[in-house]
Amino acid sequence: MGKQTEPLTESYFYILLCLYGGDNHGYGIMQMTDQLSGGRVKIGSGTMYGATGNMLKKGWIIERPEIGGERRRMYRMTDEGRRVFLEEYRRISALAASAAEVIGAAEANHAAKEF
Amino acid sequence: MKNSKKIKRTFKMFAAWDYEFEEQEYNRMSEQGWQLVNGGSFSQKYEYDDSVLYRYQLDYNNDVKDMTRYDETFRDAGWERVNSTANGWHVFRKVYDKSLPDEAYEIYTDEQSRVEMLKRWRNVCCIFLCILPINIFNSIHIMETTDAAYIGVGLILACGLMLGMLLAGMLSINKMIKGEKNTRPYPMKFFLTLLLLLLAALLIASAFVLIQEGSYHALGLMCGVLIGAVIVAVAVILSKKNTMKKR
Repeated sequence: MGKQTEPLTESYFYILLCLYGGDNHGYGIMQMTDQLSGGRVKIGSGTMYGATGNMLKKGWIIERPEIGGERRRMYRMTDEGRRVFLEEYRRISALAASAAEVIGAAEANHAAKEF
Repeated sequence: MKNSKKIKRTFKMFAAWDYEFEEQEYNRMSEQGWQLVNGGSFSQKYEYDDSVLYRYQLDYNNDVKDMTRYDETFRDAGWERVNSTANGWHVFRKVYDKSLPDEAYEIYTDEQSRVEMLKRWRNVCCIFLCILPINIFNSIHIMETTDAAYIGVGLILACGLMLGMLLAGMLSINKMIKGEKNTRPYPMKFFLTLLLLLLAALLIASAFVLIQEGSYHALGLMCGVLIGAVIVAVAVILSKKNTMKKR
């Protein structure tokens, strides 16, 4: 077991997910989250500031040193952030697998009765 | 157009835990063409401009370590910081666009972060709540050692009133943390007026005693009341405008 025990909120999960593929800025993460979740998950600025602040403090992300005259502050995922994210991904996958198994069995049972 | 701006001042009182009502007020004023220049829980300043419509959000954060990161995070999503108060409230506005969904005008989009904000504010209230009982003990001491006991009673009343206001506020915040909606604005004006009247009466009473008896106790009392009045005044000034940005 790692240090991370509490499940991530959807906002935290999406922020880490958006940084998994590469560095991004806050606004980019907001838009990408909107796209990836099909508009289901939105991240407001207050939520964003609080979440990135906490993650910076925990060392899950860092502010990328400025390259050239960038207009926006870029965030980069750390190894620790990657570990936390993957652990959460595995946890959620395990949940989904358990659910799929039970739901699948129940549906098969139901179908057999109807037949 | 810039030099012929119409200015309007209002003196509405908003209890800090009624920040949602404050947002609604700013939105309503914007619909009438009055755009907030300086927001606060005691007075507000508006400028007339009917060519634009804004939506407002208040954030409480007394621990912004990196103001540029804070402003950037909001600015990128279209939020402009109108002003901040010295005690940690920040007023944001965003140009209203009908085609955007309602969530685009909310700065807190999940329960956890909303609760974090409310808890930041509750912690500040807790500090005040801890200071007040000390004052009450002090007042009881005054009551026991002075001839003018009614002044001590008055002081206790004033402290009790403040304690009651704070407790009511804490209860409101706790309710909001639990996810219940704040439906009725707090009658801030009523309680504050009562408090000021009480303090004024105490001041007059202690001055009277001082003139009549010339006792040091009465002088001490007067100083106590004055300090109380100054604390209230400072609280008012702190929560009033403190524009951080010239526009």
